Amino acid sequence: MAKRGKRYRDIAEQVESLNLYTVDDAISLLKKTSTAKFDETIDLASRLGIDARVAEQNIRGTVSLPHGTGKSVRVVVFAEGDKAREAEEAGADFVGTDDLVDKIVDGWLDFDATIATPDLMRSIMPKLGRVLGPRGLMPNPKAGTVTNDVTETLQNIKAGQIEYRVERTSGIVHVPIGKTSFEEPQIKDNLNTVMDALVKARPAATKGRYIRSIAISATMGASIRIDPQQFL
Amino acid sequence: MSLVTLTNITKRYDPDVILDDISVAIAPGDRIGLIGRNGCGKTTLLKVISCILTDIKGNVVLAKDKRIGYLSQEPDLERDCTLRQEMLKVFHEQSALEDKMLMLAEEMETDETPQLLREYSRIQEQHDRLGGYDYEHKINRVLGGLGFSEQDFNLPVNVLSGGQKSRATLAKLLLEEPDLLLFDEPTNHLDINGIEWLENYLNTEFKGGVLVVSHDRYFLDKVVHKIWELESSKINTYRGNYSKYLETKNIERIVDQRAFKMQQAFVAQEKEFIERNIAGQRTREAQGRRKKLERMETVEKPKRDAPTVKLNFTQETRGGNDILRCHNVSKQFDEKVLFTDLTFEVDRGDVIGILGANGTGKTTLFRMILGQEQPTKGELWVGPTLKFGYYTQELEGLNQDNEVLEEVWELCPQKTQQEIRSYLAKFLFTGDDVFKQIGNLSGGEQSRVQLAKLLLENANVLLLDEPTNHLDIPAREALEKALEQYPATIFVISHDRFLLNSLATKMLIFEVTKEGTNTHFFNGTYAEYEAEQQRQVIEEMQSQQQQEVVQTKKTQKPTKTKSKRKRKMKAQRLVGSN
Repeated sequence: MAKRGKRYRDIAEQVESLNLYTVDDAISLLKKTSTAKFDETIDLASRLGIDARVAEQNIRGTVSLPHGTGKSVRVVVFAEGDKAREAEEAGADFVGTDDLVDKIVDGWLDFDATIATPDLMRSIMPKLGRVLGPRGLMPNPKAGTVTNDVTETLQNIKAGQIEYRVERTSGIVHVPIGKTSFEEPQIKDNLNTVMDALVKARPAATKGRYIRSIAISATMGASIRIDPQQFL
Repeated sequence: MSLVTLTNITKRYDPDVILDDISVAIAPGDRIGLIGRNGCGKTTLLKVISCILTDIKGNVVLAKDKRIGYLSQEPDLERDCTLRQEMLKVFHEQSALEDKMLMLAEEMETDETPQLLREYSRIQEQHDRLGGYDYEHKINRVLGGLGFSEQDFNLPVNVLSGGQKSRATLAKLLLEEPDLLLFDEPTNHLDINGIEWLENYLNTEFKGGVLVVSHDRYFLDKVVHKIWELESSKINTYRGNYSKYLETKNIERIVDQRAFKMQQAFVAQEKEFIERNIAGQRTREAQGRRKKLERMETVEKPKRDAPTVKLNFTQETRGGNDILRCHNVSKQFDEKVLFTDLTFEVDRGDVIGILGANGTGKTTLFRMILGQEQPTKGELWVGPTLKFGYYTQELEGLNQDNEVLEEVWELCPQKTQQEIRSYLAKFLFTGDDVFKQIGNLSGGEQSRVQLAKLLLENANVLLLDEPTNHLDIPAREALEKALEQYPATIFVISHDRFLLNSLATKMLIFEVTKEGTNTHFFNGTYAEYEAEQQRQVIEEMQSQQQQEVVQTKKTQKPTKTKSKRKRKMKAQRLVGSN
């Protein structure tokens, strides 16, 4: 196992790894133990009692965090004509069609999300599927990123809309829920919003306990387990 | 839960029983080495497990939703496809879904109904669940690991060398990621790097079960933790790798021999007592001992090692002293350059060991020597009174429809059937074995037929292309011995380091570099070549270390002066402030 640094060992001593904390305690402990020299991202990981290999139990969707993710998101919009103008006005970082496609094929990947209008999927899919697909950046109707309502989607993404999807092999969902610079109530709001979305997305076919475990951690901090009973 | 369970499996190729009432199971994560002599039924067992052979007695039960991948000894690829296309076939489901998505995207250009979007989303999700577009990366990684360069990806399968085709089949099988992998001699066509990559892949990444037939001791040692020994149509299971199996087997043999000897001594003693006393005063005791002897379970005599192939190469004519003069020879197919500026000379009695990665042109060089191919550039002179014996890697010279006897008899029809049959017995084809069809023989048996034909040719120059592939360990040793005693010239392509070590007097190396294939001729044995290589590596490391020392000295100097300067400035500041 990798050798841990002094800073991490100090943090790990303060966290009881087997204890199930309440949301409030977990967040205040996380804030207290966040000692890195930059604004760390807070990640939430939750293991769900589903079989993600079964199509009906594959959970995927988007949720808007009330206080955003704390990151400035660079969005590429594939649109032309009026839609392109609309995207530019709404604050898209890059707007284009074939020129952008070629740029991405050549290796440019300096963005965090993509939106495409349905009529352009024909020219995007064959060339960009292999590049964006494995990175999870391909526009997808289920995530709402293949749409004609470019302005709303763009604003949602900029305002902190995140996409969640369950890992196929483990049934775990990983999402960012803010930064350590956020106030505790803000982090709590974001966490509750994500958990509500996950509970709502519960497939009908699942059996037994749905939310098996929840943990939050800062980029360079230790994992803090939260009691899942609070969300059942 | 077992992946596959075999219950009371019996398979016969009349009149022989190949598998006799075998009951075994393979669990997920099992790594099993299947060993046994050529033709003992190893491949048959693999075919039974993979349900290719169904004409059997007994049951084969495969766990629900589990897939079996079987790598046969012969490559199974379509000739007209490129290597990449062939690999893409594994991901045909993803390709079909991509086609569907493209069709829907085309429809969305004009019509953007929510139903279309929903359908597109559903298919995209299905595609993601199958692994999405990751397959491109997987293909590159597996082909790269098995020694293919990116230029090879677009080559048609039919221009690939024998070894490359086998590697492509292996790559395809690994990409399929089945739950149980059945390998039949997977290392035969891999170079050392490829073997190491496969060992590493199986040990670290592949999570399913593996059943592997191999005569490569090193490979078995590294990959398996259980050995199935197929002997006399039965399977004996041993825990541990191949070395552990040899140890256990050895101990078993000693224990069996001792038990047999002790029992024999006891029986002799008892018989002697019975003979002496059966009619005397102690007759009742003698009768009792006789009864006890009759009831006693007898320990079977330990079997001797099974007979092995007997080889003896002879030459009809001695041939000239000058065998081959190769001057600046280059060869290329279309745009693919195999090798350039190959220069070497071969005299009578030389044994040339040829070593190199697959597809570097080793077999093509043989074809050029035989006159089947012409050099693109340079001069290749071959001695006038030579008679070549050519052992091909893919066993091309065999007519699959012929019986063994026919196949060999065709070469010397003047001999009687009896003479041919006693000749074939040296190659372990006894009794009705000689009437077996070539197509039904195992890879090792076919190799033995080809060796039998080669020996009859009485050639004075032997061209051997991977002769030890498919042969079991005793047969390899017999071949080595026969070739050592052969007085004429031998060219041998092999990845078998033991064979090269014991035979080669000169080495021809085909080395793959970034610029292409680099060929060089080494006037010495394989051991000397290895020592030379090691010496070069050590020298390179030493010169590199020296360079690093010089460089660090150079880079350290300015930092020293900088810190000195800083100290000086700090001191000045302090003086100034005071």
